[in-house]
Amino acid sequence: MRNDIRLLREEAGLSQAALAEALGVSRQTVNSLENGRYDPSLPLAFAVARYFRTTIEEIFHDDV
Amino acid sequence: MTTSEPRRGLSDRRFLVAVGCGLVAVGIMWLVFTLAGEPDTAAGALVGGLAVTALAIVVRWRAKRRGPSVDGGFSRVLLGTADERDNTILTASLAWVGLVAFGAHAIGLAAVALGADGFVVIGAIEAVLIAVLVGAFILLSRRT
Repeated sequence: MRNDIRLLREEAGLSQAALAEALGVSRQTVNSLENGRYDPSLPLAFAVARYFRTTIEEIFHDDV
Repeated sequence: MTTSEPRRGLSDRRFLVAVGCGLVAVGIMWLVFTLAGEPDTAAGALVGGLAVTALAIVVRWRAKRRGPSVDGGFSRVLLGTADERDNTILTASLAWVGLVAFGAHAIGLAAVALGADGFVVIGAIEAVLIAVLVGAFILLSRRT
């Protein structure tokens, strides 16, 4: 699953650590999310979307 | 648990209580096996239990000294600050431990049947399972 977390984070001028702190996860988790190595749970996906004031569909994209 | 809540670490008091409970459990296991006339199993349980407890104390001490972000997911698990990815990795690592345990115990049983010392076999199995847990956690952390 692809996502635009890196793009949104960089547009917001945030570091991975700052975003991780805001989401209540580790920096490694944010890094894994951005690199597509880890697919978040639904609560985390909602938290990401809420943080960037958008929707899950706008951030996460199905690879198929 | 929601991911938006700030993560709070496991307090020292709770960690000490957990370690104390673990030691009591190990002690009970040792006593039960000893009373049941199984000194080798009792010794194995004692060595294994103390090894795991000591490992937990060392990792927590390192994590507290350096900070959880430096040591990575394993220390966050022990500090009680694990996030969902850490828990996913831990679950997968424990699944590997369970899988390897089947083979390790079969080999251990065969070794005892062939005359190997039960104390050594049980200690070796504990060491192998701990190594599998740590190795699987590190490997999965890099891939996940």
